[in-house]
Amino acid sequence: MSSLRVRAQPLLFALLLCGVPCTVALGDEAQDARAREEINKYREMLKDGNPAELSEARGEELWTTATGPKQASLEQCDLGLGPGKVDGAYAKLPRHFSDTQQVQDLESRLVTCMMSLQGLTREQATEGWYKADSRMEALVTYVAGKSRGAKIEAASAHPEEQQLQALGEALFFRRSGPLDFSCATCHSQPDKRIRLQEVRDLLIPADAQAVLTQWPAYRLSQGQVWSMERRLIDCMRQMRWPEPQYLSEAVIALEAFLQKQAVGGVMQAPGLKR
Amino acid sequence: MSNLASRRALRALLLMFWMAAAFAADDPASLEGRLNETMRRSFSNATPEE
Repeated sequence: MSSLRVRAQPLLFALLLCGVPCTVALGDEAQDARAREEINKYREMLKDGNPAELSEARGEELWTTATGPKQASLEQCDLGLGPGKVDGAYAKLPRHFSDTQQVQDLESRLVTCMMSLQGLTREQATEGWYKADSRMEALVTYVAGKSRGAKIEAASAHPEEQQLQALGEALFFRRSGPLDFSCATCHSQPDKRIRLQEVRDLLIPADAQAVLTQWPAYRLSQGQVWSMERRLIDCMRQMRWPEPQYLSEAVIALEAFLQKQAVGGVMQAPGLKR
Repeated sequence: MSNLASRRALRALLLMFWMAAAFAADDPASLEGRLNETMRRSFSNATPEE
């Protein structure tokens, strides 16, 4: 009996040793799932009082108010569905526009409209775009809000649209900067998070949809609405890349690629983010 | 073919591949060329140190 106990002791010890990491791993997983659940509850609670609604209302006012040297409103702006058609337009951007011969996202298209309809210069149209309560922030929030419930589409009929999506994909995987970082470094692995923030795998359609359907979004940490373009520019800053120019092709190409990844997602923007 | 001749042929072949790749990278019609051009234009405010 005693010899059996002596033989069993190392076996029990080995089992215990193997069991500890397993228990720790299971505990970590459960803790992660619980944290995610709590974060989602917190977001749900805040949904009813999204401060982006104020920006949306201001954007509507700016959209319909005559201003600039030509004293015109933006109501005749063509966002891709024809002059004055705003409903669902954001869900189909970026797309190619024949008048500018460019693939444009919402912000670059708004600048085109402000210049052509209202007579503003490019500098005037983009003035203070990054500031809280800027005209651009309000207009983007308003137009995006008019796509609530619309399915995301990625325009690819024009060769330039396909080219930009391919450029965006190449850029997504391009490692640059002193940290040798690419977008894919963080956004190509499932179930990751940085502190309390989920870091979505943008190569998985469901994850890409979860992201793209929420932007533009009110950022609690910043106290203002950020557009998708602004989010991407800040991602590049976080990767320690040089700062790209606002409305530049690199940023629009990335947007075009992400839009393609998120096709089919139902727009819920303006969202609410950390 | 002698050893020397085959080495020269290999060198010439490698040089041709390298030149083709280098030209393709600068050709705006290729994706790589377009990407380089896009990066140059989009980040033109950045200083070389950045």
